[in-house]
Amino acid sequence: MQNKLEKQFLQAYDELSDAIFRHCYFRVFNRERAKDLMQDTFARTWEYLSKGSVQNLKAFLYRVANNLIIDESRKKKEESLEMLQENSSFDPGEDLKDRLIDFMEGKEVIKLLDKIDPKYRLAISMRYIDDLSPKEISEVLDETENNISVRIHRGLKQLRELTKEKND
Amino acid sequence: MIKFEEIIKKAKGVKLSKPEKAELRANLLVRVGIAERPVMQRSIINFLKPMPIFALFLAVALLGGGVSFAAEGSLPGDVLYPVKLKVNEEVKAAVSLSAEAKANWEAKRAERRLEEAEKLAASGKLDAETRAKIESNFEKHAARVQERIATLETRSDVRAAADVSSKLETSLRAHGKILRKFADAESSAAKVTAQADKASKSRALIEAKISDVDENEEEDEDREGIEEAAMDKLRAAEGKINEVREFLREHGDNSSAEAEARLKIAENIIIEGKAKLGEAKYGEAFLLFQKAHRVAQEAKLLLKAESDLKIDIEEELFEAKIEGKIRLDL
Repeated sequence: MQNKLEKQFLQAYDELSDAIFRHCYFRVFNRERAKDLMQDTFARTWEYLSKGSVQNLKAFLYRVANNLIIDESRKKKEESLEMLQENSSFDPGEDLKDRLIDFMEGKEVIKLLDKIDPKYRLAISMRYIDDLSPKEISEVLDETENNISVRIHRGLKQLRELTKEKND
Repeated sequence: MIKFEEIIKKAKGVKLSKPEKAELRANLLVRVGIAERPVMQRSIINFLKPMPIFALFLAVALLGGGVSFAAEGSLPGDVLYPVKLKVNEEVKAAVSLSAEAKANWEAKRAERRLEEAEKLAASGKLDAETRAKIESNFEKHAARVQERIATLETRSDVRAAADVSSKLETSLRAHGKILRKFADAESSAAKVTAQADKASKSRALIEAKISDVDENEEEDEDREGIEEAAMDKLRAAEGKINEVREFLREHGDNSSAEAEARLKIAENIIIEGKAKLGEAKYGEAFLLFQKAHRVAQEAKLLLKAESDLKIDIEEELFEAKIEGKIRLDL
């Protein structure tokens, strides 16, 4: 019989697996690794859930994902962004045509995001791609809400400069 | 070259395919040892609880309008609460005739759910089950508003679509901030703020259509329509600012400095809007007056909550200012 905790967990999975996957994807830029990280995130979260209560499940998931990503990047030093852009292992889509389009457009996205300060990039991707509030982001990253707001603000400024340049 | 909004849109398009999702989900269940069975459990109590709507109507008809009126202030758990939802609100929905009126009422219903949650939380009576029920009702109404806004758009009533979505956004933002003040309602607050963000985006898209109007060669008739809409919006915005000042006179002492600051900002935006009127840029003027209205309305909602729920919303007013600055840059 399925208990309340399991239901809660599965509901969170159905609601947030895409979002956590997407978050992981824009950190590691590899579809398969993003899927694995997402699964690991949920598996680990289940361990915590079944042992004790978790306050804010969504923030908790992002925090676990963030920690896993940091751990992994410490171990794997190879995959640099430059390598990925040359590599066809950059693979956001399934269908071949989609894949080609994603590849071309994805490169644009990554090139742009890559140009701004990594701290700002993370805040921006969490705010606008993951749709987290500054408060949630501050919980996940263990920073003050003010720091987060400032980073978002500065990152946006940098991005605006970059997109403006190209448009002229 | 690519715009910021397009970047975000494309980034958000990255997601798992259905087969991928199904496979991953199944794998996860095995991994953590959860067996999934179809959920079909009803106890006898569940069958007895929901009262048929006609029975409620009957009760109201027999007992007189006083029941309806008394039900208005009821909260989840009160005897009359079903009357509030299934009689009062449904009747109001039925008598709302225009698409715009229906949309506005649906938004008001969503807001009423949030106000109920706030009142309960303020008196420490918001338990998890009640909160979940309120959230589910709220989400239902919020989804319906979005549908109605989309309908308004397809009928080319962009002015009404912009109006409804602007009001919705303001309400959600304010209530997200208010709910956050209560530990019991934190998860609800996050959901509401997420909806507010959604509303914000859809509003921005609708507004883009309005600002396009100034660019295009419009028929005089259409131009007149927008000019009229802009003038109406100006009146509404100025009226709202006065409303808030009036409220401050009667109630304010705690957050009045911050609230007054928000009102000054709203007034400055109105000045900008009037300048656009002078340049015959009625679309832009409309949007600016609508923005001024949002600023004033958010302040009003926060002040009302301060007075009703005995909380301090000074910080929230300040946050609204910061948010306004960040979003302006987009």
